Amino acid sequence: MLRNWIDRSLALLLAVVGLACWGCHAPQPEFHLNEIEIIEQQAAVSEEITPEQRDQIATVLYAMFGTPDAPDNPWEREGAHVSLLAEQGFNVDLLRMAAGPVGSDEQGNTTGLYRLHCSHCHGITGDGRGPTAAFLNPYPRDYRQGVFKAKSTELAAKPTHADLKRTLVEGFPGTAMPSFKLLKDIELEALVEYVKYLTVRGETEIELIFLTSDEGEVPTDPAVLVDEILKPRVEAWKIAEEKVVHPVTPQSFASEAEKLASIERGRTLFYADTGGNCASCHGNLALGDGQLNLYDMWNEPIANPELEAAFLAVGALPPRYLKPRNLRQGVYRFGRRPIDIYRRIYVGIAGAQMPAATLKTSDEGPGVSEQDIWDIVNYVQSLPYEPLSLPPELERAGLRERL
Amino acid sequence: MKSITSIFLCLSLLLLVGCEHRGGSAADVDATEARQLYLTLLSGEAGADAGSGAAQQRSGWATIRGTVRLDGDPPPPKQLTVNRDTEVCAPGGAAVYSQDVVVGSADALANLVVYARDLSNDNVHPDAQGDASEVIFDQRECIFLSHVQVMQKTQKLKILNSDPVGHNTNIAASKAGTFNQNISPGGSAIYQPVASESQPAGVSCSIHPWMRAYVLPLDNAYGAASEQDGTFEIANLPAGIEIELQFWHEVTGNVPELVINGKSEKLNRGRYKLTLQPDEQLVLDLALPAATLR
Repeated sequence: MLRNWIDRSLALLLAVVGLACWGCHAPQPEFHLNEIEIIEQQAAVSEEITPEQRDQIATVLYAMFGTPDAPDNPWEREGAHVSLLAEQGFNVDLLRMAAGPVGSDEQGNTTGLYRLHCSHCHGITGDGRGPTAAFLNPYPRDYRQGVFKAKSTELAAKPTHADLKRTLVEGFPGTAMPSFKLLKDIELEALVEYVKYLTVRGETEIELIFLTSDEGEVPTDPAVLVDEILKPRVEAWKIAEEKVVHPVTPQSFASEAEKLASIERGRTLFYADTGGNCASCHGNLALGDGQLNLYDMWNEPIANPELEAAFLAVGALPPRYLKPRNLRQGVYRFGRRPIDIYRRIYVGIAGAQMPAATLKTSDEGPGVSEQDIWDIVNYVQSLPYEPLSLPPELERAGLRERL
Repeated sequence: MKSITSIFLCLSLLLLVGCEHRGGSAADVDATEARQLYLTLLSGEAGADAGSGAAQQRSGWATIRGTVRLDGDPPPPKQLTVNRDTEVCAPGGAAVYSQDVVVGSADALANLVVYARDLSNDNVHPDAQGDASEVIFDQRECIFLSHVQVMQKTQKLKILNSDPVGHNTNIAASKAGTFNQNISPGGSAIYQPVASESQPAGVSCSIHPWMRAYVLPLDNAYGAASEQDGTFEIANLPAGIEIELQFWHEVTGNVPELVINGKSEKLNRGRYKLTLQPDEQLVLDLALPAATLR
């Protein structure tokens, strides 16, 4: 009888220890393939990307971009550590600060910054699908297409270094993106570098998937991988500084009367077809209800009725409509300085529906002048204070009496 | 004892069954293979290479002329939802239909795009590249007047707005450069592609979302969209070397099947290889099976 009990207890102990060993190994975070892009490309050419090709793509990406723990591969050539990413202009010291598990180095600086601050929303792969993403509105940014909304540059250009840093420092009011103002400058620099790295990696992956499905095989020729795919994508970040939009006409008014006149002109331009034509999307009351059934470039592919189920099955977030901004709230996600709003109107918003204004080529011709844009900026900034935006007088009076 | 053993066995079986090889996960990466590749990527190690196989010699130039027909009944026309600026976009309350399938007289199919892929510069005729002229792209009654516009990347697309309402023309071209500009009535804007696209890019309007067109900037002049009468022409193509034509239609994407000069061809990714003779005027009589449009 006792022997039986000992046997059973031993077996149970073995089972528990076995399960504990199996369960206690925390798996290392890994990059995963862009399944959404794979499904899209497979549908476009009606051909599958085979498991072998998927392995090859993963191998190429591993060779070029390493892992979440080791972004630049430490393989040595002729005894010297040479890094592909360093050759392309990345600061690998900053990348190493941002990559890897959270910890601290010998000097006491925090390492694993991306995993500490960003990956729960933006995901390990920078796909905007971290564990919290499904609960956020708007969804966190997917870096992999290389398109960013908050920037000071032309529509098709990348953000500048300063733009990315500003995003980290200011955050986006009205969204879940917080301000990281309290981080050290070196930490902010490391995170900006790592976001660029994830973006270049994501864009390279999309091109690899496209070429694989378009040509039937994964490119492995260095001339193609480095010169045709990687270099232009890195180069786009470097030339972003040249693409910054600087108004030629400064915003200026010498008196309150001039400012009010500007706001009046802006009001006319806001609602006129021939001016900014803003009300057509932002609504006749600027409440953001003019156009409700359009998508941004991240949600639009998911909303394809034929493929939506397939996308959701690989973890895509349910597509959401892109609402034009309600301008009466006074919440400006990408900056509330006049120059920020000027740039939204002058450039439009990349990846979204907001168009650029077309400048007049002559005084009488169609379009808007730079001064017109400043007038619209002043009107937009005055919108939250218009009587229509404030609580009704009667309601306020009633409340006071009841109290 | 027996029950615990069997539980163990079940668990291990479940583990084995659950692990199918999908490919592409980090665990599948061969580190040796990756290292080999990595070393070749550093400072362009491997082949400053021979190119794709034996170099063929171009022996002259030739022209392709063609007509496209739709073989069978076109799908029923799709009515568009015109819910904005209706006095301009649906004058007199008339129904507005999609232009995705445009069939003219004698079953002529418009807007089938034909273009030559992957030709290196030495095989491109001097007259078939570097055109810097303007191509007019207009919109009226909330319809893009050129439903499919093929152009050279060196040309400028002059986008006009001939309506009394504002339009924003949104070109979703990831390689040639995204573009989205609000164009006042009577106004215009210029779109300068910075590169070619591998297939036609969509053009839309956020204010009038039912509007749709396509633009295809190419590296050279070897591309055309069939006209209302189904005809197209591509001149000065290189002869004596194998060229690959890409066929594209907005409904099918890459055309899967085409009857070319009476012979039914199943096209891989919409592509068709042929070699032209010098000074040849090849006539391509194309018929698209109507079933591909459903």
